[in-house]
Amino acid sequence: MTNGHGSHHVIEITEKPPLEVNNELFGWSSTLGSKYRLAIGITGILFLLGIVGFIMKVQQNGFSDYVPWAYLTAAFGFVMLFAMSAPMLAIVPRLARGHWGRPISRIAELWALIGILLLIVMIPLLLALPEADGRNTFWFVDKYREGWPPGAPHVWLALLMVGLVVNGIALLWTAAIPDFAAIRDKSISSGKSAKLYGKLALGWRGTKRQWRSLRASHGVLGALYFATMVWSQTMINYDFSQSLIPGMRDSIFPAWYVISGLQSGVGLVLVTAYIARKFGNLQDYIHVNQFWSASKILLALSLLWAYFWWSGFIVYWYGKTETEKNIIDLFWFGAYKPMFILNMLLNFFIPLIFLMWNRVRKSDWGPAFVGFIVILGSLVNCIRIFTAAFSLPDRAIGHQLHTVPESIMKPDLPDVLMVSGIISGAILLYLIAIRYIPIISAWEIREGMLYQTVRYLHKLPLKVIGKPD
Amino acid sequence: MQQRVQKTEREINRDLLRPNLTLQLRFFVVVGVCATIVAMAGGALAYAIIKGVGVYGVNRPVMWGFIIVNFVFWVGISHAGVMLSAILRLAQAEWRRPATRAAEVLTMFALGTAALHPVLHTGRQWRTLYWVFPYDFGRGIWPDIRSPFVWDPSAIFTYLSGTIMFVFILLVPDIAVLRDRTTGIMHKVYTVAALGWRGNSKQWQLQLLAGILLSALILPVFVSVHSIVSWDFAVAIAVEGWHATIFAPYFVIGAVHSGVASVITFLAILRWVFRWEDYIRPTHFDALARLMVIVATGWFYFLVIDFGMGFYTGEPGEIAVRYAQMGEWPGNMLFIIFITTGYFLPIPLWLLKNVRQSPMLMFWSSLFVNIGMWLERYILIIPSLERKQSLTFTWGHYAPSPIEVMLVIGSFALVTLGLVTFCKFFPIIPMYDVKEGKVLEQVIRIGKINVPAVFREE
Amino acid sequence: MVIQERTEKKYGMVVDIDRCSGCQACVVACQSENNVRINDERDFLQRRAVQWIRIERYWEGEFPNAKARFIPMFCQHCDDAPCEPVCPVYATYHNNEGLNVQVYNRCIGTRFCANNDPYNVRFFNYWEPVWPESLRNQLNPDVSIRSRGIMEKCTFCVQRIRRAGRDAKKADQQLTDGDINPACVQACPTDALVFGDLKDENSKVSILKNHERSYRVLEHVGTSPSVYYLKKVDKHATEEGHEVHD
Repeated sequence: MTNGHGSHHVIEITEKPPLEVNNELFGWSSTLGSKYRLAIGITGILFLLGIVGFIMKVQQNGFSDYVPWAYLTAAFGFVMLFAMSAPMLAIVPRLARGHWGRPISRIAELWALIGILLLIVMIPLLLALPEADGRNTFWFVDKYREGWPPGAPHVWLALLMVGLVVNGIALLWTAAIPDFAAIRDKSISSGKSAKLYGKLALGWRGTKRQWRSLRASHGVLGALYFATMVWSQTMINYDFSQSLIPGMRDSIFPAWYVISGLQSGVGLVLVTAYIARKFGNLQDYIHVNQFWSASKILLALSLLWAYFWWSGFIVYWYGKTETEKNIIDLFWFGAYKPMFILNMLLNFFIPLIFLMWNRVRKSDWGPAFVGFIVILGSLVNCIRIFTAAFSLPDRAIGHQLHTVPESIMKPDLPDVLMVSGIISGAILLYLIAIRYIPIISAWEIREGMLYQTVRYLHKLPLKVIGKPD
Repeated sequence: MQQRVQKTEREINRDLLRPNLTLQLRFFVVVGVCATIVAMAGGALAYAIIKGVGVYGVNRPVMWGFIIVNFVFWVGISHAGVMLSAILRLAQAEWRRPATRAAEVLTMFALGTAALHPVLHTGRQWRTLYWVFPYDFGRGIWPDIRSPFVWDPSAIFTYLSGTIMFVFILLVPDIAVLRDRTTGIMHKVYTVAALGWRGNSKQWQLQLLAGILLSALILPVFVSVHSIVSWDFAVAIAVEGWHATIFAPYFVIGAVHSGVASVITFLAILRWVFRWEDYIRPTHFDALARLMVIVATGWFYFLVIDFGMGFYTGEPGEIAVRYAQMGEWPGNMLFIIFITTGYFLPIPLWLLKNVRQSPMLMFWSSLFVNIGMWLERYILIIPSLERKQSLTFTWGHYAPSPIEVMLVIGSFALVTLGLVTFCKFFPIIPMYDVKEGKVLEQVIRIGKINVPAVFREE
Repeated sequence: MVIQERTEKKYGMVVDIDRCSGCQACVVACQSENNVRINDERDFLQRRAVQWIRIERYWEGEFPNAKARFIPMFCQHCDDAPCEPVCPVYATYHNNEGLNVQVYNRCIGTRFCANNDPYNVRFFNYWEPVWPESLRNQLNPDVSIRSRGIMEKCTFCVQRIRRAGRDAKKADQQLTDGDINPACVQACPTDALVFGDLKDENSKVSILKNHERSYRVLEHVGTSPSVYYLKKVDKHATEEGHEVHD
C-alpha cells in the first residue's frame, strides 16, 4: 500500500482564495519586466530579418520552381508541428478528466495562435508547389488523367489549414471565455479594456446552461481539433515530402510525422511551462506534478517515434527493391546520415535515457530539458525530410527513384534568415499574446482547487483528487 | 455517480469467491460442451496430419488460409491484457480494478491458443515443433534469423511467459485467501501456489514493485509481438497489398481494438453469470467504451492511410488487390460487413452515454467489433494472395474447408475452456485490488454535492 | 567429388518467346525427369497442380482479333530471391552456382517462400503423391521423391548439372557450353530454351541476354532473376496497354 519510495516529499497543491488567484493571474502580464521586453526585441528583429530574407528570396528565385523554397517549407513544417500539436496537452487531460492539465492548458492552447503566421507563410509555399497533374498525390489520381478534384492539392491543403487554425483559435477562445468575463467584470471601471474583454466574453454570465454548453463545445472542438490536426499534418507530409519522391510509397511516413509533431508539441509545452514557472514566478500554479505527468507522455511518444521509424525501415530494408534501397540512402544512410543520427539521438536516445528515471521525471528541469532537445530534433528532422524531398529532380508519376543526391541541400543566406524569422515570429506572436490573454486558465485553477485537497491515510498525508462523473 | 457500493471485506470475499468455493452444475455443462468441441477439433487436426494439409482449403497461390487468419486474430485478442492491466496501472486509473485479471487471463489463453496455429498450418507439423527452436539439435543448422517466422515464436513466447508471470504474481494474495478457506487436496495445491504469502508489509511492497516493473517491462513486449506478426506479411514484396510500412502500428492498434472489445464481452458475461452487478458496474463499461472510441478512431485512421496508400501509386497490381478486397464478390460483402461491425455501428453508438452504461448493449456491440475484426484479418490476407502481382494467369481463389472451420471453432472452444477453468479455480476479480480501491475511496464536499474522490499516491 | 568441382558459376536461361509455340513438350519432359507428381483433374480444379515449368497463356485483343501469348514460367533463380530469407529452417538458399536450391528434407511446409514468390513458381505437396504400380519404373533414380508437406520447384535439373560435372571430371575435361541441358531445354523442338553459364562471356546465354529483345519478368520487384526472356516479334503489336516500368 505504500509507494515504495518511503521518502517525505512536499505535496504541491494550489490552495489560495479564489479572488487572489484571479488577481494574481490577471495582473501577471503587468509584472512582465525587462527580460520580457528583451525577448520581444530580439524576436522582433529576427522576424523582420526573416521578412527581409523572404524578399531577397523572391527577387532571387521567384515562385516558378519549388526547389529554392525547401528551407522555408522545412521551417513551416517545423513550426506547424510544434505549435499546432501543443494544444493536445490541453485537450487530452480534459478528455481524460485529469486535473494535472489545468495549469498548463492555456499555455498549450495559446500556441494555436501561431496558426495565423502559418497561414501567411503557406501562401508562397503553395504558389511554388507544383500541381497534382502528372505526379503522385493523395487525391486518387488516375495515372493518365489530370488531378482531381480540381485545384488539388493546393485548394484542399489551404482549406485544411484554414479549418485547423480556425478550430484552434476557437478552442482557445471558448476555453478562455470565463476568464475574459472575469477580466471584464474586474475592470468594469476602466472603460476601454472592459469593452474589449466584454466583446471577447460573448455575454458570459456563468449560468448553468452556459456552463453546460461551454463544456460541450470544449469536448467537440477538442475532438475535432485532434482529428483535423492529425489529418493536416498527414497531408502536409504527403504533399511537401512523399509525393515529391518518385516511386515512394510509405504508409507510415505520415503517421510517424504526426508522432514527431505530438512529441515536439509536448516538448514545447514543457519548455514554455518551465519558463513561465521559473522566469514568470508561477511556482504556485505550475507544480512539478505537471512535469511528472506530461513527461510520461513525452517518453511514450519518444518510444513511438523510434517504433514507427523502425516499422518503416524494416519493411524497406527487407524489400530491397531499387526504389526502397534508394530511399534508405536518401533519408537515412546516404548524404543525410549525420542528420539522421542526430535525429535518433535527439528524438529517441536522449529522451529515453533521461526520462527513464523517476527522479528526472519528477523534476521541472528534467522534462523541460528533454522537451527542448526534442524540439531541436524536430527542427533537424524537418530540414532532413523536406530538403531531401525537394532535392530530387524528377517526380513524375510512374517513375521510380533512381538517383540520390550526393550531398545535402545547403541553405543560402535568405534561407537562414527565413528559418530564424519564422521561428522568432512564432515566439514573438506568443509573447504578444500572453500580454493580453492570461497565461494560466484562472477558472480551471479555481475549479481544480475545489477538487483537490490533502488528507491523512494512516498518518500519511496524501493528495485527494475528486473524480466527478 | 460512479455507482459506488458499500461492501464489507467479508461480503467482498464471499461474493468473489463464490465460484471457487461452490460446485455448480453449469460449470460441468460448459466444460463438457467446450471439451467436446475441442476434441472434435483435435480429431480434425489428426485427420489433417494423417491425410496431409490438402484437407485444408489452401492452394496455389493462396497458400495461407483460415488458420493464419485465426492466428492473427487470437494474437490480436491477446493484446487486451496488457493494454488494460499495465497501462491503466501505470496511469493509476481507478476503474481498472475489476477488469485487470480478466483481461490478463484472456490474454494468456488467447496467446496460448494463437501459439498453436503456426504449428497447425505447416505441412509437416511433427517437424515444426522443434525445428524453429533456437538450437541446432545436431543438424548443424540453426533457424534462419532473417525469417519473420523465427521472430514470431520468440516474441510470442516472451509475451506468453511474461503474461503468465504477470498473472501469477498478481494472483498470489488471492491464492492465499483460498488456501485459508479450503481443505483437503485443494488446500495442498493452494498452499504450494501461494508461495508462503502472509500479507505482511514487506511482501506487499515486493508485490507492488513486481507489479509496476512487470507492467513497464511488458509494454515493449506487447508492442513488439503484434508488430512481429505483422511483419510476417509486410516483408513480402511479392504480395501487393502486404508490403506496406504501416502494418506494424496498424496491427497493434487493431489488436488493442479487438482485444479491449473482447474484454468488454468477457466482463459482461462474468457479470451476468456470477451476478456481480456490484463489482462490474455500468461505470466500468462506460470507461472501457470511451477508451474504445479513441482506440477505434486511431485504428480507423491507420486503415484509411493503408487503403489510401494502396491506391496512391496507381499500380495495376495493387489496384487489382484493392478491387478484390472491396469491389468484387465476396470481398465487397465482407468489406461492408467488416467496416460496419468494426467501426460504423459500434462507435456512433458508444458516443451515447445510455449505450455505454448498458452492459447488455455493450456486450452485443463488442461482439460485433470482434466479428468485424476477424473479417478484417481475412480481408487483409486472402484477397491479396488471390491477386498476387499482375500475372493474371496464376490468380486464384480460396474457399475454406470444413476442417479449417472446425479448427477455428475449436480455437474459440479452447479459449473458453481455459477461461472457465480459470474462473473455477481462481478468483477472476482481484479481491485485494477491489479492497484497496475501497480503502482509497474518499468524498469531497463542494457546496451541497458530494464528489467521489480518491487518494492519489505519488 | 561434386563439391570440389563447384566453381564460381552462375547458371541462367534465356527463353525466346518468339520461338515458343506453346507445345508443352518442356512441361512433359520436366515432369518425367524430376518425378513430378501426376496431376489429375481434381488437382487442377483445386488449383494444386504441380508443374515446375508451365506455359502461361494470356489472351490479347477481342474476337476476331484475339491472340494467344505464351510465356514459359519456371523458377527464375533470382539473385535477390525473396523466397530465401523468409524460410525459418533454411530449406531454401542460394548456392555458389547461382541456383536457388530447395532442400526437401529440411522443409517443414510453412509455405512462406511460396507467398513471397512473385512468379508463383513454387509448388506445395498438399497430398501424398501416388504413382500407379506400372509407372513406378519410370521414376528417375537421380531425383528424390517428395512426400506431402514439402515445397518443390524447378532446380534447373541440378541432377543433370551434377552428372555433367562428374562425367567431365572422369573424362578429365572441362565443362563447355552446351554440355548441360535441363530436361526442358533438351525437349524443346524449337530451341526456345537455352541454358548456360551467365558468367561465361562466350556462352550462348550470355550472348543472347544482351539481345535487344531481352527483358526480365517483373523487373520492378527487384528480384534480379537469372532468366531472360526475348520479346516476341509481332509486326501488328502496338505500344498501347503496355506499362512503362521505369
